[in-house]
Amino acid sequence: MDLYNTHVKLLAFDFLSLTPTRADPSCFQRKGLRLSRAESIGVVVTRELKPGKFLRFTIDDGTGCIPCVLWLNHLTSSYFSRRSPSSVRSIARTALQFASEIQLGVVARVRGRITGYRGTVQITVSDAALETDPNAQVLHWLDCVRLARRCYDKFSRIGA
Amino acid sequence: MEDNPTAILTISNLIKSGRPLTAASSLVPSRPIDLRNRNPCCREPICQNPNLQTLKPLKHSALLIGTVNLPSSDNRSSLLQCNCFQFFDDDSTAVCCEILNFDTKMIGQKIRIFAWNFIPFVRGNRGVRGGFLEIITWDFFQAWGGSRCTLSDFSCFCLSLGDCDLGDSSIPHKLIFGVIMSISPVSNVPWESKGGDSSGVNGFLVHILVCQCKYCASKHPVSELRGLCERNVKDHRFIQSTIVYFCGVTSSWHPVISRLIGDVVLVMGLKKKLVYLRKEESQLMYLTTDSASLHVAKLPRELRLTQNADIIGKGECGSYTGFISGIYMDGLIIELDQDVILLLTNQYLAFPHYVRVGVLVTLKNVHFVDPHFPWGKMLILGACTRTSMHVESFSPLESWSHLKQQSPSLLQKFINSLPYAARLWALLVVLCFQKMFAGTLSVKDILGSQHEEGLAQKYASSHVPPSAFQARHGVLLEFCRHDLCSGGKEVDCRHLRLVLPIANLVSYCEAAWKKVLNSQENCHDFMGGLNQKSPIRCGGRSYEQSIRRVLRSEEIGLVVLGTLKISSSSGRLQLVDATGSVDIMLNLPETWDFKRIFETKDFRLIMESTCPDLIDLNPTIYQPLSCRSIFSNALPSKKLNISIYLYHCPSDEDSRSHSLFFDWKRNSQDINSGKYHLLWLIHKFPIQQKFLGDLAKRPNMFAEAIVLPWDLLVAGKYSDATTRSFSGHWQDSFKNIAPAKEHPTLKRCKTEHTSLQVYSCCMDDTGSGLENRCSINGLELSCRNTGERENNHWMGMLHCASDRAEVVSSCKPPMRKVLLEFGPDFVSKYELLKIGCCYLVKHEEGDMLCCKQEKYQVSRAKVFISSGTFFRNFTLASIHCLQTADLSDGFPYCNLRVSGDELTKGFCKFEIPCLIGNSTGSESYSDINIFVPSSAVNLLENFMDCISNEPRHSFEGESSIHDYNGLVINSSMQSLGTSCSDYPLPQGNLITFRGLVVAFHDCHGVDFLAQPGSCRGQGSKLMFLQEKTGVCVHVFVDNHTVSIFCDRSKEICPIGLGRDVYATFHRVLVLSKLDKYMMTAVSFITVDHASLMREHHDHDFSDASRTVGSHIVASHDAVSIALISDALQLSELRPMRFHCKVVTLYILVLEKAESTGIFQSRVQPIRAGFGIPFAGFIIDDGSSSCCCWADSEIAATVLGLDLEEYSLKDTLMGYKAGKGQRHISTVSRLNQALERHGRISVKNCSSMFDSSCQDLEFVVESKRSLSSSDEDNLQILITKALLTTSWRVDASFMDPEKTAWLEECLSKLNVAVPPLLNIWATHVCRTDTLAEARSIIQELV
Repeated sequence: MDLYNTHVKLLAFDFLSLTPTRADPSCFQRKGLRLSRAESIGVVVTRELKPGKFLRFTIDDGTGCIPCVLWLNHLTSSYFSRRSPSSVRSIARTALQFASEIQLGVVARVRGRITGYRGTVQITVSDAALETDPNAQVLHWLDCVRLARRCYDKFSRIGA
Repeated sequence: MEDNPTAILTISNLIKSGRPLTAASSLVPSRPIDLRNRNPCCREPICQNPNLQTLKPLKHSALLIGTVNLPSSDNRSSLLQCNCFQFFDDDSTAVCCEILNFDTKMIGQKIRIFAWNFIPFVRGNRGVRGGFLEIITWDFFQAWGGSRCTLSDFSCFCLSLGDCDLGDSSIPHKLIFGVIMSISPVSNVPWESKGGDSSGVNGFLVHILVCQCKYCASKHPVSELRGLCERNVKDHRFIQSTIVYFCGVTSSWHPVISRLIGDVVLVMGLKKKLVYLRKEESQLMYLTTDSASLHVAKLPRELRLTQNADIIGKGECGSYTGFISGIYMDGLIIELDQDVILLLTNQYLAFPHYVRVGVLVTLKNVHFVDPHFPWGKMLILGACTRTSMHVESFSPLESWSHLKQQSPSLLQKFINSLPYAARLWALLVVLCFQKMFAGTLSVKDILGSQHEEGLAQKYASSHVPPSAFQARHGVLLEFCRHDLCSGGKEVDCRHLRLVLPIANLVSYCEAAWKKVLNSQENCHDFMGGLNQKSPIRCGGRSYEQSIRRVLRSEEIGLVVLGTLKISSSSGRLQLVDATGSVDIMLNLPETWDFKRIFETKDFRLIMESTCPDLIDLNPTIYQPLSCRSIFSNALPSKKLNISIYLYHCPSDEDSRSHSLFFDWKRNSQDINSGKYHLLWLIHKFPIQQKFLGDLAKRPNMFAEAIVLPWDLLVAGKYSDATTRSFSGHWQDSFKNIAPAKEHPTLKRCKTEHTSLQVYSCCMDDTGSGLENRCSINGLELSCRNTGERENNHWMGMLHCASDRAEVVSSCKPPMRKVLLEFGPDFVSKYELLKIGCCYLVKHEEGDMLCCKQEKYQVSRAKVFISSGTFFRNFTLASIHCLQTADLSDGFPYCNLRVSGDELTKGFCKFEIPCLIGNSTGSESYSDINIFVPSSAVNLLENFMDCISNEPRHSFEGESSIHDYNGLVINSSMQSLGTSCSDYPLPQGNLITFRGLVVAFHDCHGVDFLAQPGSCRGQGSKLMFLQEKTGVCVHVFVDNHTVSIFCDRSKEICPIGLGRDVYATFHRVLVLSKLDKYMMTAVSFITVDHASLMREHHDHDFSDASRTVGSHIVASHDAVSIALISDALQLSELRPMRFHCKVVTLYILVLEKAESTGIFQSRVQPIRAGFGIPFAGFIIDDGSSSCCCWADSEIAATVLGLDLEEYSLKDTLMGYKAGKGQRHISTVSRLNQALERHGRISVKNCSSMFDSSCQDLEFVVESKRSLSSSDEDNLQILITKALLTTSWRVDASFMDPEKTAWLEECLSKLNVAVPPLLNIWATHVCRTDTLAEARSIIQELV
């Protein structure tokens, strides 16, 4: 079973234990299972904004802190130059919206790619949103436990 | 202040001015208020009556100089029973006064008053002007000369008659040394003195706990009394209960001694006397003599007894301090701190003048009673003979003192004989009756007189158990025997329901409604708005679901009284009193007299509304039910636009029959002998709404009925059964009904032998006998009125009405249909008739019901209902019922032979099978039960079945689908109206069905047509709907939901029609196959009352997320929640449910509605503007990803288009217009773009798994390219859809047919089916996080 393109839900302590694979820098491993995308919910505890470049922040889900980065350079980066202008505009606008919402103390839900930065694992955010439902965090925790038991651990064994 | 020049006013000046004044406004109260006993729960400030103003202050300093004296006995005997201090000034003008910082030494001394209030009033009937002086701060005019008391070492104050002379100080005295516990009011004891003066003697009783310590128990000379105070306080033992009667001149000490409660005093100059309280009961007490003196000991105040311990509200005595917030019913009821009620109903209780609204008082020895009334929380303070009141702070308000009426009426005596809780209830009954019957009943009728009970008293006494009453014994006995007062006997009064005027009921509902909204708002706040239940979606629009709140009468403890009336404006049945009216759902017998007072004890109070009124949500307006709101003279007005109605539960018939105002059983009238036609009501035509409200043009009403081919011949009331023989003269009595020649049918009655033979046959050969013998000319039967229990039976014969027709069990029966026309004055008769019920109608000479007037098979006779036409509901039952009811003694038919076969059938009650919609037999009251042999029941049943299954040609094209109970009525249809393309009129088939109303919302005709499953191909025919606005009702019938469009008018939508109610829709127009219908001018809705009783109505507010299809997908609840990774392992086609999020869009096709696009065959337009043939979304639940395909509404939901409508709920939560408007503009721009391009396809050319990388390509049908603004608009729409909303998706694998169709569609767009698991969504809704978390934790643990 391949979870490479799936946004896995991992608690922070689990996420921070992911290790990069040597062959593919975009691929990380959890007990032998290849992962590239993740989702998490937590309280924003640090926030560092470089306007026009990126927003770096950390979310604390109660089991640890996950570093996140949200790129804000879509309109200037050559990486997006081949995309349709309306798509790039939309992506840039959305990212700015995310950045404005990510404030210290809020509970945020982030999804994105798992990347490495200076030896630690982080999430490069694709989309983020405020979570105002107080039950959402509990649901996320329970979801993480369930998925770990019913899916990730099982697939690891199969893979192993 | 004393140094300033001040004006010295006189009392006469104040009385002359006649104005309430204060000269204390600038002064700070120097005396601290003793709040030790103040109830700690009194936290709210006094609610000031807006009509009350503060006392007008004098513009200059003003001084009063005079003397405060004890009340004189002359004063008390002359005017009011007033025990106030008297203030005399130099003019010798006296007024009653009360002193705040009272000092016993001030009595008789000249004082200066610096701060005071003056309240003028008129004394007595003679109009003597007087007033009341409230002394706030004062000082001695001259230095006080010191005590003349001979016990000055002992006492700080001495009260004596003349000089305090205790005689020889060396003679030992018996002392009354103790703590004053309580004091009675001054009362007059009849006492004929030797001089012949029979005016009696005034006096009051004081309860003293006398010290029984060794020192005090022995006699001491006066000179040694000093030792009393020198002893340690704790050494005294105040335990012996003693009564001292201060009579004669000492009765004027009352105001002083009443202030000394809790103080240690020494009373001297007393004599012992044995007083007979009543026969064989005497009390040793002390009486004051001429040498009596009272000395207040110089003991620390800590000795004062602490009270209020262990008060639980069961009549315990204690103290209470509180602000008087209201005085009602001439001072019988005083409201303290807004939720504490002081009852001052005892007529001998003194009522101090300072008791005005705003005053702070302390009550001592008052009974605490928690009545536990279900309708309101309150604390009752019951005053008894031991209760006393003291002022702590005068009222600053310009309120007036209330003078109690002196002569107690019969009603008041009755009230005084009740325990406190019942007393308050009775007072409320009196007040409510006065409000409810104002203008209809006289005050005397309600309150009664000195010798006659009024309605209020009759009502109250019928509800209070006899054991609760207690005779009153007078002050003397009740003071000495405190257990005899009302406080000693508190009975449970929880069953006493409050009789509430309708205006107050409406106000109460609004308060309850406000509470519902508050809880809903709190819920929104808590849920943060994101995971809130979405409103109902219908036709691409979202509608706010109505909220219903049902209150049970037994829970709220209310009773409503009034007269019943059919509203001339709405045509609905209403309960009316002098304060207002409220709609009521009720099954009334046809014989109900509308002049009677109707009492509802068992009812549901139902409130329903779709949208809260934002403007009126002012919490200060809506107060819960309180005595204040009932006592208030101003009637509350309805402020909220919510539907409020009562549903009278027919469950408890006993309570109805015991009503004081009517006897339900006596209500049913006797049947006179004669001939009756049997009618089966099959339809009622609604009142033409254009005439409603216009009294001058009130229309006639119509109903349709089938005349059954039998007549009932009633011989007369059966009595003295034992003297009659079965085969005797009762048959002859039919001859007396009418001359035989006038009623040829009766000739058949003469063929006694034939009838009897047939009867016998029926009994012998049950069932089979009828089959063999195919004709019955007459069925003999007995008829019994169910309304009376005692021997109230009638003999009767059910006789074939037709000359030639013979009732044949297996043949098609003859029947005739009539149109009943009701004049405007008989709207009540029309309203009380129920579709599907059978009625007896007395035969009148020449009436159209009689088959002799025309050929039998000629239908469409019109019968005008006159005032003399009475409808009596009847049911048919097996005679076997009577045998089981053990009535054989008084009912000769029960002795008839019954075949063994019949016995084995057991109880066999038969009711004529009702038309669908009235399958609630329990709720209908049958006036008359007609008992016939079981065989005859079978025959009649066959006949009714035959009619029910009759082709509808005689039923005007009406047809029915399966109702909820699976009863098939008919499936044939007939067209209505004419087909004319130029002039579109409703046309189609009429149908009748019954089902559960699952949703109910306002709707526009256009939107109704835009709903899924719409009437494709009928567009031009349904033009008449385009401009209509009305209500869309979604009804769950036969396992699927249908929509009915109706006008939103009260006469079309009957009271009670709402969600979760079973209703029958009679003769609605079919717009498409079994899913869309429309009410027409002949359509009629009946609501199944019994469904209102179901438990699911009792939720505070129902699940607002219920969508129209929820009942359909209810079966999907059995679908297990799965992970996408698990689904990948499955091979079979079975439904699944995922909790997931959308990652990216794969493809989206938007199409203009009614376009001839390639996908139109599958398009359901979600709006009038456009539709979504299909859309593919990549979804991810953390375990894997898959492509979820959806169309129309489901795709619109995922895209957030269902929320684009302005939602009131959003505004409630603070989602102001911005969001709603933006959405609306998005959709409108989408519409514009589709207008230009016909169809727009959006493809994702980039990663399927990363929303930040998606690269959308827009393809349009037209050759033109999409403008950048349109692209941006679509980008925004899609991006928003991808934001992290969690979805609960019910889906299934795609079957080969659907897969092939999808592949074909995608190939036209040059898109491949994604190499993922592909599923088709059947239902989508937002995740209920709480519910899902619960389910996961159950799975995990």
